Amino acid sequence: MSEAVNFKYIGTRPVRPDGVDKVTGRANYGADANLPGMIHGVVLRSPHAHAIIKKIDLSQVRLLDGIYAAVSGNDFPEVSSGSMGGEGGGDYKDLAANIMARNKVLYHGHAVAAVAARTRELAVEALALIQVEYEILDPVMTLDAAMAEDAAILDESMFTQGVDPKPKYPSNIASRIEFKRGDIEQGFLEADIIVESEFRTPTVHQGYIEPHACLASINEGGQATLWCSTQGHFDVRAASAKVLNMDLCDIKVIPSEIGGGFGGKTVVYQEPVAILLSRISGRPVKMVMDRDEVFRASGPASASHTRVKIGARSDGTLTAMSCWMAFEAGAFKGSAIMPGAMCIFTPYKVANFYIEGFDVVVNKPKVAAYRAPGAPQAMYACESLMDELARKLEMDPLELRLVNAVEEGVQAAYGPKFNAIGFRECLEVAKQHPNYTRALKEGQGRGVAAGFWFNVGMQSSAEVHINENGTVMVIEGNPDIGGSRASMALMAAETLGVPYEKVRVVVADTENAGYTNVTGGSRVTFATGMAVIQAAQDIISQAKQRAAATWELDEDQVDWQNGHAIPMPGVNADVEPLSLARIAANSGRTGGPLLGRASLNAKGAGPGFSVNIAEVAVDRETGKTDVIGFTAIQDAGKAIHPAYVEGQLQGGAAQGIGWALNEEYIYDEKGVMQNAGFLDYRIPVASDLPKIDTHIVEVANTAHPYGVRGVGETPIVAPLAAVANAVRDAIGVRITELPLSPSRVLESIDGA
Amino acid sequence: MATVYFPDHLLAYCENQRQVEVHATTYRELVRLLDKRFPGIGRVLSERISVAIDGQICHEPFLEGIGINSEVHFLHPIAAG
Repeated sequence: MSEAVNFKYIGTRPVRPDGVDKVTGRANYGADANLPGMIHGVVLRSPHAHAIIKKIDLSQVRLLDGIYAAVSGNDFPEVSSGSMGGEGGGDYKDLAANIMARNKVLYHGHAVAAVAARTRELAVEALALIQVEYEILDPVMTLDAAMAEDAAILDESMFTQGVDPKPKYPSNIASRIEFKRGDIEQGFLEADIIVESEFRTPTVHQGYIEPHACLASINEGGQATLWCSTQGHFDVRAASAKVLNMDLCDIKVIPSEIGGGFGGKTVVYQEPVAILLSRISGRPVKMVMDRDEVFRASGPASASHTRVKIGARSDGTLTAMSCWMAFEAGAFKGSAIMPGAMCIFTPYKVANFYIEGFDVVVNKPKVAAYRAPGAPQAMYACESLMDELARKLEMDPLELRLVNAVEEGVQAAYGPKFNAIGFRECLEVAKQHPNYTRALKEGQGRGVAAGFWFNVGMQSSAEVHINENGTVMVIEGNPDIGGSRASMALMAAETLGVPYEKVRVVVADTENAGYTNVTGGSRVTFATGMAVIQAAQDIISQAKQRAAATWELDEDQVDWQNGHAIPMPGVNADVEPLSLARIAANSGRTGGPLLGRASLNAKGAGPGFSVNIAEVAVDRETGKTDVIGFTAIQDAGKAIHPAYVEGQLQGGAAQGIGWALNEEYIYDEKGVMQNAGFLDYRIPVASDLPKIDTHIVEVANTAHPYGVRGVGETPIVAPLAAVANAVRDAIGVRITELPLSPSRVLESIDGA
Repeated sequence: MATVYFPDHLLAYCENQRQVEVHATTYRELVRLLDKRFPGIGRVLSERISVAIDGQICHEPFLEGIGINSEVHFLHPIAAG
């Protein structure tokens, strides 16, 4: 497509269709579902971070009046090892063991039993009657401890993958990966200057405001209906069926509105438990995590340790980049080490690089995806060191990046050559931006950093139904997290040539929408958007057939413009244009209702690049850092709804600022999290943040009809380093471990 | 002939060759031909893997077309949030 295309609806900023219900409280979220006869399920969680379960006795709790069901791991079927497929991967056996521990608990908060009772209060009281006998083991809480030769082993059956020869002894290192290109040693020999350092990031949570919640009801025939808050109801269906050994078609999943996910709601925790409790009790079972459970038992993002080394010539040209990186996976293998390793050096042209990565299990909750999983940790390290390199070279940090920036035709570090990308454009915008050059006061600092994320395509389905008055229904299968109903409606309106206000979008359940991968990977506007466009094109094709039949013309003699069928230029037909409404009104006489559909496996997701400018003020007496300015610049390909793209940029910036300055899981020596609540786990609130300025760059993705590339994840990648670089600029000291909490900043200032 | 590039984690399956030339019109045919040349690699390339054909990444490529001058890269599937 051409960037010069003038769109009628795309690029406008209408109010989102779900907006009124969400701001007035009418919208139904996960915990809002209720059914007659409903009872409440709660989970007993491990008080130990690492222990063998020697015995669980549910007999006392089952005798209690008002208790309808009680289960432990023994009540679940055995699940064999196997790839989960879908969007996030993983292993079903691990998933099952994470949902309900079998022989061993692997983190404080790991589910060991569940009960369903007449009231939630009674269910909570009843947990005290469950007797569990544990053999307590030493908790392994850090990467250093887990990778030590004498470390306590979490899983005696786990041997490190990716090493040759195959190891003889089990390890907490689940896998080792390696990427390389060129001659790394020669690359460093060619360098005029070499910088190196190591960086650490803590365990952090996505911090979605809505806790995990579901309601399950299973009938006497074994058919279950599940209402839940999720990023992907088809994946919930698949996971629940696997964990409970049920037929996929016996589970219907109805997605609620979702109060944030950011990757954390691509995972199943209590949904299969609720179905099992419902099956045993014969009643609908509702389960809602409290915030403490969300922190202790749902997947955070990996803590990381990265050593980076960069070599460059005196003109800034990079000659070599190398890194060693280890990510915590939590209790079960499967951190985001692979994407982290694939993207750490991706923004730059460098002939020689070497990347070594490790996926490491520790006694913390199993990590889950968090916006661009792996990239923020990895690029915090790389972009911090690029800032140091610029300082050593006495070079503008944006200019250093421009000298080395990847562009169309360059081979990415992860393999293929880039098609059209907008990294250089983002850098140029940043360089010219007034926020990059405005004067700072004493104690203030400015930092820049680049961000990258792949974005993905994958499978999507959509239907477009034309009502009898020509209004349009779009049926899709992606829960709307970031305003996707609006973007789907805009693309349908643009394609069909009907006003946006005449289009309605329905997020349908697993029985009423075609299979669709999760809302994640920044894929919905790209991939599901393509399905909606194709379904709308199907409608146009049918509408042209109906018009041709009405006018007694051949189908190829009819064109479609501005929502109307018209004769092709040169066709001699004395007819009035037929609107979609008129064609729909007459559809009974021309073949029946108009129903378009499309399903696809989308390829060609456009990589996303960003540049952030952070400005901070550091109080040298308290160590407190205030972000006084933040500018997020990103290539969106084409912003279908610019306000929601800006919202993604601002939201990612806010989360990244929290990651940089405040957020971390704090554990005691027994592996018990000490700050499992929003009072002590401090995510940024509005008063913590300045207005976040945005600039949308539009370098069209040629693989999408309207040029879209995903935008949801890239915004969280650059803020960590941008803020860290700004703090470095303000205090003159490089702090290499996040968060840059007041105590850590003060310690660094005092130690300088 | 399409040029096929192997990443580090697949080198053990292709006699440590970084790149090979293959004449194939679809991904399925490409995998079949590679498996003839490097017995066993077909199973690996048919499991959970992403492929970039001329810079466009595709999950589960099976029937994707391969051009005469295409460049094919194998990637680890990318999970995302």
